[in-house]
Amino acid sequence: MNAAAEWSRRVLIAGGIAAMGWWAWLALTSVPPHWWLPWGIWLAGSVALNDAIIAPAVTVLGWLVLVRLPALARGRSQGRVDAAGSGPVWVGVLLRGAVMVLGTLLLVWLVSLWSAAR
Amino acid sequence: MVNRPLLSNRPSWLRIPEPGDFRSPVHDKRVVARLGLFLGAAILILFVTGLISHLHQHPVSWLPFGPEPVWAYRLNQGLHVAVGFATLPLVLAKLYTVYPQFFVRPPVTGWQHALERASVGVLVAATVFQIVTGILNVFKLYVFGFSFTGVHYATAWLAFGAALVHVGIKLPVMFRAFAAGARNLDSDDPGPDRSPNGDATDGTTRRGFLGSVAVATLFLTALTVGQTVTPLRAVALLAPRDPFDGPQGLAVNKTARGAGVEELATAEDWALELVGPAGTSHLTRADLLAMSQHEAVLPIACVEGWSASARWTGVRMRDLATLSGGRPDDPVHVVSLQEAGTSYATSDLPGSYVAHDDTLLALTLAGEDLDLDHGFPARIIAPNRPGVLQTKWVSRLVVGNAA
Repeated sequence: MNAAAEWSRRVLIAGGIAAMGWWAWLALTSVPPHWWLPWGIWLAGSVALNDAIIAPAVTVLGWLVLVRLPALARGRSQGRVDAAGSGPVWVGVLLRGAVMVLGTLLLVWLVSLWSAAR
Repeated sequence: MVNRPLLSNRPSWLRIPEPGDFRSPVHDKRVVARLGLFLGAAILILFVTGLISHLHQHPVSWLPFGPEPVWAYRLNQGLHVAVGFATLPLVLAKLYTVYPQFFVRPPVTGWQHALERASVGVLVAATVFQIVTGILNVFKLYVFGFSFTGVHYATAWLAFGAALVHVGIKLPVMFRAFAAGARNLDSDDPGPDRSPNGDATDGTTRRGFLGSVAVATLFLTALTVGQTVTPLRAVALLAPRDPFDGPQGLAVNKTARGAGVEELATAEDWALELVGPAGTSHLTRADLLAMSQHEAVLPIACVEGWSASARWTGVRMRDLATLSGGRPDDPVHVVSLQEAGTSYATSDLPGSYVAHDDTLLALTLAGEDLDLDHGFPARIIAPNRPGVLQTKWVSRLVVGNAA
């Protein structure tokens, strides 16, 4: 990295630390103490939600949809499993895109059901 | 042959995964850097638009917002919510690509590595928190145990700060990842800081993966912006509110019953209390209707992202300010019939808003008397202003420093 990049890097880190410092100030002065615990739980829960549920689920689903099922389909048609083969790129693009869109819609739909039930 | 020295001999499903178990080529710094760029842009937009919305509701003297341009708050909040929804697939994709790093052993190799991992943890927590609470707010699910607005605003600083630190730390890696250019994206060469991944088993290309993320993000945006952009209204699947579904063809967030003002708002002896330098006067609805009426087409732009324009008629606020003995650009404090202390039971109109042609004490909507849920007998309507500050069921106006 040249000097400008290194300077940019330091400015970004310093700016980030300043912003987080402002967050701490806001937390101490603008947020009532009895909100700190649920706030902390929701923050920690956000990491847990991703690392323990969403990411593993996406990994397993991705393996099923993009590796295992196509391999089984090819195996049926060719009499053998050839997992290394692949279809046109645009099929994969659309398939993954559809999974992301439908996955997001599913999440939001669950929220809307929850909202309607209350 | 792929070198995976960390892998034990046990089958992967019988042990904690190791980074080498994740063989897809998308777990690569070149992909991560590009997704990070998109996500960083989204976080920047969300932070700036969120800050603008916050400053509208909690104004500061050194950065006053005015009534022009009329459409600015509508655009700002529509963008905030649309980008917020669009960020969901971006975050999921980004976290998926870096997920193998979660299993790096040893988890910490030194204080710098510890700080780096801690900053990533803060970034993930704050970003997911903001998206989840933002979406729950759009659906009015207040299940947090804390007030949404104050905590969402504070956490925005945490997310933004953590993002800046993360970008700063990763800047050298990003430079290397982008240096090769897009043409190198799907080469078999290992990405920076990454072992070769030629054993991918799903035929996935990095370019294809990024294309999928782009398709999903744009598609989801199209499913959201219909709450503001009328031609896409029919496909606004991610917008729980139809802006035109409500009394007089306009959605309502807080009803008169919900606000507890049904009786007071329909009382025959209702009169607006106008307090100004010349003293206090009371104006009945008939008195107000007898004054010079002005028509304005202005949007209700809700903080939850939806907005809709409507035709309002009423008395110009500057005329009322003048009538009270004040100047046409004096600030006005607005009090509603809602119980004191209730959220948004009062609001303040800065002088620049009071002086604007289209800032009204509205009495009719679309040519009819205001519906009770739209603020009958009188409400505030002003350009470039959050919906929650367009105070309904107005009972009292205090002009200038008359209070």
